Amino acid sequence: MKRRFKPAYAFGAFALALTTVLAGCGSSSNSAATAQAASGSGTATASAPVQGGEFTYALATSPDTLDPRRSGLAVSVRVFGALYDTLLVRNADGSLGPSLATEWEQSDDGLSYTLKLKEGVKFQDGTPFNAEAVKYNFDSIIDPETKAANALALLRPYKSSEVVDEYTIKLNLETASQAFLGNLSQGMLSIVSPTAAKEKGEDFGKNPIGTGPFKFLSWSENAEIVLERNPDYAWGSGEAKNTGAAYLDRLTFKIVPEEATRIGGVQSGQVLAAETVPPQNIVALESDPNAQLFKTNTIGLPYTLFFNLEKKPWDELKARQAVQSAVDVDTIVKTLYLGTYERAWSSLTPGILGYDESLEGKIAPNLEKANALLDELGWVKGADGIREKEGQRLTLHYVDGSPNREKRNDIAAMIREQLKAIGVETEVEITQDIATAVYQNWDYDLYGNSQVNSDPNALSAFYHSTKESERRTLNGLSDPEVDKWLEEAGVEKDEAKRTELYKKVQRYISDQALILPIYVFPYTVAAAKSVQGLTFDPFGYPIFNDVYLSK
Amino acid sequence: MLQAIGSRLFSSLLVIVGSLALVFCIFYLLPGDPVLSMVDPTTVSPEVIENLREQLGLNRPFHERLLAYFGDMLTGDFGRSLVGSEPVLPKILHQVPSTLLLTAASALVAIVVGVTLGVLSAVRKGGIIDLSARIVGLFGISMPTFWSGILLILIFSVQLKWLPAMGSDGFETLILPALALGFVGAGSIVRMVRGSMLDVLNEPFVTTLRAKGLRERLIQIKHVLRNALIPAVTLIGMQIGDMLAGTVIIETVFSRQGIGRILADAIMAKDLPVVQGIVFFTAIVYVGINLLVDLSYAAIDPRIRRKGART
Repeated sequence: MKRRFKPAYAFGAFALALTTVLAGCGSSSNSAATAQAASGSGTATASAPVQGGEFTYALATSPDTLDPRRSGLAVSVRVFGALYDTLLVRNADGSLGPSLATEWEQSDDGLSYTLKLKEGVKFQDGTPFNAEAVKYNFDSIIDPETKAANALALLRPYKSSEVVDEYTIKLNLETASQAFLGNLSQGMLSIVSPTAAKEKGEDFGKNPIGTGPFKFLSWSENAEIVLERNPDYAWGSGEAKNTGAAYLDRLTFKIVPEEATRIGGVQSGQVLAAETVPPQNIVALESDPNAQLFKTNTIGLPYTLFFNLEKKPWDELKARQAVQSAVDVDTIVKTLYLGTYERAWSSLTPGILGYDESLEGKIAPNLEKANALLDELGWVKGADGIREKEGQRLTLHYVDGSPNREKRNDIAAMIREQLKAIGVETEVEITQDIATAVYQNWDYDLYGNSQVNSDPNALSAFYHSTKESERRTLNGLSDPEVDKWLEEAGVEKDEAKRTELYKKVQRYISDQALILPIYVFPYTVAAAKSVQGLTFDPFGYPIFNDVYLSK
Repeated sequence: MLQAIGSRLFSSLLVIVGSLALVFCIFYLLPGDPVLSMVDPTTVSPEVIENLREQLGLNRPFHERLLAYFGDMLTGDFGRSLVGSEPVLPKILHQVPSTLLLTAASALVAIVVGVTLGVLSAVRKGGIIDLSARIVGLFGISMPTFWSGILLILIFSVQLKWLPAMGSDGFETLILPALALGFVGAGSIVRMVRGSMLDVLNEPFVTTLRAKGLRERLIQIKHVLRNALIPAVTLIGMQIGDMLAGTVIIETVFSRQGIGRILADAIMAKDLPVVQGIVFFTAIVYVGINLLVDLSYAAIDPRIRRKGART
């Protein structure tokens, strides 16, 4: 009898082992902000759009919720674009265009915006879109009960709304912000139906109602989210050429986490498109006659390694410059991503306002220089080739997350080898719990991060000094001059002056060797040849209203 | 027998409560914060994060949270998911049929393939069937399911285009994942059945039966297999448990719905209410399977049936 009890206890062991193994795999897949379409290499042949059909689009991860106010994941925003509209849109050239708001005006003190809204727009539940609806949306985001996080970060410094008339609204801010208007074009600030949101409460995320070209039909968890054509849609804007109802009858998002299955699904015809194509498949698909590949470089902050300025000896410029000169970023990016990713040069990516092109090509690997810099600082190579000073070994504590997202762990391994050549010992720590290691204990010399964002103001969250009560930045930089530039650029209305300020910040960051910019992440989609008209907005999110399926 | 079942149920209850409390403690002790895995810590301000913690009740002391959890559970309230804020119980129950179906189909593959090959290889020892059975045994045990799963997709979906690579609606979508998962079980069952068949075949009573002139086929099926099945049934019970665990991987590889997949996602997001709900459900299934295994001993072996009253 005793023996037969075993399985029951074995169960306990299984549950525990699994919990322990998987817990701590904190997903870092949240990206509050946005991305930009730089180029779509897809081959869309021009022909008359065909009405009808179902477009199946395989996502790598599941959206957390379809309530934009509560979502924390970029993958949800890919669905928001079909379900909802935003007040403004970001055009391909980076300028802002009208959507649900047709005109906007900033007050002289920069503390309020008056928006004229489009008339005749209806939510999918039949209720009208108007100034009251906008007011409800934004007020509910700043209400703690709503539990908004990323949407709240984007809406800041919003204070209140005044409904001027049915189609005019005045948005008041706590402080002036040049990034505010641009943020209104972000998917997480999509406008939801107030009637439905109030009625459904917490369940709105599973029963979403917006004004977008597709209506919500069903969501079966971890399998698919099915949307159907909104026949009343007539207010398309931005980069979509089709401003009326969509060509597709149905738009189905399949959730397929395993990349071999996802890409295999396009090849076997089970889905028509699949996102996030691994580098080796990108190379193969580019020459596949039965498929097309779309590649869109995201904008914002590239994948960047940040030095922790509070750790010795990395508080010294020469030490950081030595590492900057020793790391061969070109080789790393070419080796790991087979030429499918572009290397980054600055703290911003190309394609964003204020990007400083003059930094491109400025850093080249130079081991002599690197060695000389460390010699100057008094670090002398010991018997095993690692430098020492006053009995201390020269080590660099490099922290990276697990799982190995975008082969970032392999970057760490290659940098470790490259730094060995100048006598720096790199201790690579791969942890599943970045939140604790990095954001609570700040225990790292070098840590990498990236952020998709449409406004260069994103730099403030990474390089502006912080108060005692605030969370410190990854560098822990505190320089009044940089603070001044960032603050001025945050409120500067003249674009040329703004650009100049952000260029100053970027040059400073590069000259001070605060970071090692590594790569620009491309959003990739593999699709069947029959998929026509698929484009991506400047945020890198797919536009479905122009899509049709050829025979 | 009834008494045995009663004490069995009691100890099962202890196992369930114990595992729930233990998982709760592990989540409490493990570093990491569900809120930090929900938001982008570089843009979202600390006060917003504090507000989220408060709204989700994560800032309350450990004993309060533990007591509140068990209290709510007794009233049938398993709480809401921290991530999607939907109620846990319907979320899990909705996914259960898919996982049970996959487990049952895999068990069928494992039992049919395992027992058939095991018996054939024992009676035709040294032949081609014996060799293939041993290969199945070896591969089944040593191939990780995510690997065999991807191989099956590449062969039958991408190359031959016979079967779908993903999804969980319809019989067709069940075949590849059930094969991938069932093969692991088949591997162990083949070895076990073959071994115990050979043991029983060498026992004196078989010689007696042969001497009495019974047909060899009848001896093998009616007498030898029946005796050899008892250890195999124990193994099958445990294998079904393993398959339930294996759905965590297989459901992800084949993009199937199911509690395995929810569990993996929930653990990644440190979504404790969902993890607890699944632990609770899985524990019940495990205990149920073991009860069935016990009862089946009696069905197979008359000696156990007769002794049953005394245990």
